[in-house]
Amino acid sequence: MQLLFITLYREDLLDEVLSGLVEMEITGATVLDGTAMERILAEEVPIFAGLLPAGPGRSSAIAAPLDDRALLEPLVRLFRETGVDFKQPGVGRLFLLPVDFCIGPEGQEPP
Amino acid sequence: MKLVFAAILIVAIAFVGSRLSFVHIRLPLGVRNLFLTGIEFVLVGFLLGGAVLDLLDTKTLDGLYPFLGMGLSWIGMLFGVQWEFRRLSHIPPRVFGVALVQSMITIFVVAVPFFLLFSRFFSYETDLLVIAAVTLAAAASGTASSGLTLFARDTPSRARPLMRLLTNVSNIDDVVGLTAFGLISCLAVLHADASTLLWIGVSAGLGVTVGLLVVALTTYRLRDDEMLLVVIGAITFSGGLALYLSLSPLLVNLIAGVIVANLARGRARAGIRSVLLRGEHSIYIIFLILVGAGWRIESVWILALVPVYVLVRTLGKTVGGFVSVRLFLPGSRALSQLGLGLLSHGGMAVAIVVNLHQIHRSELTDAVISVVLPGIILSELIAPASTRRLLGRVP
Repeated sequence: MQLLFITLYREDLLDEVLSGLVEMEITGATVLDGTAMERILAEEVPIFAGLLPAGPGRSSAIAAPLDDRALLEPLVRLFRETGVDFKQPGVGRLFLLPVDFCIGPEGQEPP
Repeated sequence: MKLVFAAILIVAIAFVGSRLSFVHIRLPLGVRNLFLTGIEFVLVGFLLGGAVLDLLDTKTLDGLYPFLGMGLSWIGMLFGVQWEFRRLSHIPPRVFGVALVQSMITIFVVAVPFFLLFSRFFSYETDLLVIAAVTLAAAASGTASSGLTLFARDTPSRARPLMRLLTNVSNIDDVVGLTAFGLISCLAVLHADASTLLWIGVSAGLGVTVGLLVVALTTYRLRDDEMLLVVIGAITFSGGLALYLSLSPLLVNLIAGVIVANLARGRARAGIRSVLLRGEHSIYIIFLILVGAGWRIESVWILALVPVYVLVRTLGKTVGGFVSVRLFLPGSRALSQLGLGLLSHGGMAVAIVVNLHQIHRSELTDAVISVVLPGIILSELIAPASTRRLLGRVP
């Protein structure tokens, strides 16, 4: 088992990433709203939209369990076809991490 | 020629200012807070205006009038698009309760004495006095979250829950003032005695229509420049129409923003937010400079009301914080002085009083601006010390 971890700097591409995962039958992903380290260090402050999760320097982190390593290349290809090209600057990064230990039923999805 | 020169000057200041302001710089706490909220640009505008250098005289300002309307619409839409209800579910309902109730109590505490003061000093019909007092109170009811970031790094862990509460409340509570002002601007006296309910309906209808229009126009994938065009078109149209009808572009665009946040496709929603956020600082600075340039202090005695305003607002926030915490967080006695952390004023107050000035110009509305603008500056100077005191009291 491996863990697919994506940091996405463009929130407008989130739909494409999630649709791509579903299309490749990779389910049970968790999406986290995040902030780029540079933004926190710059300490820029919101004026009117403090509730907004998105904005310059904001990012999403998507973590999904991946049982079949062979799905990775088609997934990256599918992402590219739908405009999510991680080789382009400012889009994000995709990691595949080996999972050393996992507890919890296999294929479990959030309630 | 002067108009072109003035426009270039303002845009240049806004461009440079948006990169230098709204960030932490090493200055005394109160002054640092002033720079964080960007309110210093009101003073820049005041210096450029007819009162001092006269680079932005009345005629030039009239030519730049559409920028003010656009600024109001931009602010309203930006404030609205953050209200995506699905994503706000992480904020507990009791926090919404605290934010809304403390803000409503502040409106009441500020509006009543100022209605009495205005009745004593101005001979206008009662409805106009009510509008002025409620507008002033609506401006007083909000809180700027920017001031809280001064303490974000060095807040001790025991005070972090309080800091989170303050941040959430300050992000939410502007909605009360904005709605109160939007509704009061529908009073019949501003609309040739036509029904108030009718104008509330028109405000809501215009907001919903513009929101749905933007949702429909962004159904297809748009490039960044196309998205910018849609957003600017929408806010110019809605803001212009709202001002033409003597309504609040803030409220109309707040409604449109909420529709966009909840009905637009994810990609479109993110694109619209990105466009609005990218222009936030520059548009806000242009807006503040124009407000400062148009600021006239017709009589010095009106400045005597500024300390009254700051005192009454502080009282309103303190009472509001106390009551709302008792109602929604009854077990948290340490939070009963919550209001002391909510004194930072912020930009929405400027937007509200300027909106009133745009739909009804009189000695009374000049007075409201002349009370609120220095009141904001004074509040920004005292707010950090007050917040620090509150955070230091957490056991």
